[in-house]
Amino acid sequence: MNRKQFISTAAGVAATTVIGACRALGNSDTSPASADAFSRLPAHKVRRGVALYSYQQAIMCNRMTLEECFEEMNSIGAYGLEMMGQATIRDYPYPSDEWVRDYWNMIEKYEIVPWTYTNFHDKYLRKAGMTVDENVEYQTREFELGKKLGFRHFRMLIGFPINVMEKMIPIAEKMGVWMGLELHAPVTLDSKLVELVLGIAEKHPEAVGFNPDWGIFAKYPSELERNKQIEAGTLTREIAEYILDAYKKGTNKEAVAAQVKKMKPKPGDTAYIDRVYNSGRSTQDPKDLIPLLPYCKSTHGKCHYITEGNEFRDTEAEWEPGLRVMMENGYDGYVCTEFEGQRSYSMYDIDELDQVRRVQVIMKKILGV
Amino acid sequence: MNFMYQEFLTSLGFGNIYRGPEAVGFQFKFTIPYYRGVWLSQISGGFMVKVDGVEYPLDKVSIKVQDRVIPWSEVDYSYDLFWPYGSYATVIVEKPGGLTVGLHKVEVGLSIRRSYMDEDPAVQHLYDFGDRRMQAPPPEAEKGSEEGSYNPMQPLQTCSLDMVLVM
Repeated sequence: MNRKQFISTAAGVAATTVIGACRALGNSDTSPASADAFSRLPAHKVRRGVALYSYQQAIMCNRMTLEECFEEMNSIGAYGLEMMGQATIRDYPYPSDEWVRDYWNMIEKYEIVPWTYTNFHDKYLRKAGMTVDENVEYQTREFELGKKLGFRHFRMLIGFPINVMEKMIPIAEKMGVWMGLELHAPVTLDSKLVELVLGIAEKHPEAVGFNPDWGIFAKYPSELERNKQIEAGTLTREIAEYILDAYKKGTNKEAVAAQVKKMKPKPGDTAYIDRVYNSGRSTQDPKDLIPLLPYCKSTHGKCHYITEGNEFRDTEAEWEPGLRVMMENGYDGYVCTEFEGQRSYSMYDIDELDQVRRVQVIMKKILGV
Repeated sequence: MNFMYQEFLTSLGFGNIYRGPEAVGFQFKFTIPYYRGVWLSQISGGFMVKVDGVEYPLDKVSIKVQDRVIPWSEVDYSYDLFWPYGSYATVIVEKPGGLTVGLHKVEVGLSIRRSYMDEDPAVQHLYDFGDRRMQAPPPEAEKGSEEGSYNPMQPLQTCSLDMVLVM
């Protein structure tokens, strides 16, 4: 077992955690066998990773190669890899042996753990529609491709047909792969979809489960969007700050609207009331994830804007309640950061690498590893 | 502004196509305005090519991806041809005489058939999205035009660029 395989196991997480904890305590005994060291183990198995989607513009503009993505992940200690086959694999869906060999060499070199393959099941490939058998054939090829690159978890985008999922169960079980249905905002954790898939997951936990997207915990609009509007002169800083502050305090919308009216608002200021008050309409309580956690093996850490300077705060969501729920309820897997803030603007407005590092600091402080 | 989705045209390779001494058409390139590659068939729902305000009929248009030239009428059947993320697709337009030397305003529009959600209202019902649907159906909807149902077709994503033609 090499280091990469080792750290992907629970024992590996425990050992690296102990080493980190001992270093922090100035203890020279870093042996995981030390009883004293084990007493300081965090009881959780939540690990950090990155979805390469986070670096999409740098990759598109040839500023970052796949090797540099892995180097960056290694340097921030986020070893879990989530990758989108259709954005990353050269000659998708049939990469050359040479490409696959180079990929594995890089995985070894940077100690990366291939964890989740982001699976676009292109059910609308043909205008006339696809039969279930055609869907099964398409999906089987994705499993084969992902497995070749070391992935056992497949993040199935919301909208993956459930009847196809059911057909894929025996194939997934035989291949030793798992399908995690993406739980993407504004889906609710008590929706009929979740209930339906939970019923399937209970019968086939090795093949079916959930892949929550952190966006379901988002409560506030991204402050980047607010700052850009202020810069453009369409939003007044004082009014925007007042609205957000009042929202956080639970002031009712009508009272806020009445107050804003007195502040000589621009049209953008008035529109910002709705923007703020709608931002939490589908926010889920992390505690509601607890019954689903035994069926979650992968998590998508969506974020859009972490504050700059030496303050590390996600402007849309609080990380601690969600991570605590995972840490305390046995979640065993990676949380792969998906930074998406560049999509509304560009990498010239917001630095993809810097933002991923910032959210990783938030996670590291809570996880301790 | 997201340049990946809004500035996807390039002057690279813009020029007339010659058969012997005669220009028989012109070509230009663009990258995918999305965050991943797609199968060519996924763009069969809509396409637009306009140069200097003149729109060209799609039966005069072919698209080249990975060195394969596909006439527009066959794009929907090109579900085995992948258009990789970050790579160029070349638009080839048949036009006897080609374009004149000098400045041209080139416009392109395409619609990618994505894989999110489901167009079947019976399935959508499962999601309990209520009034928070991810997307309203675009007016040019070809499927799922019933009120409130999801349509995988996106409105045309367009881009225009002033380009200089040399030959």
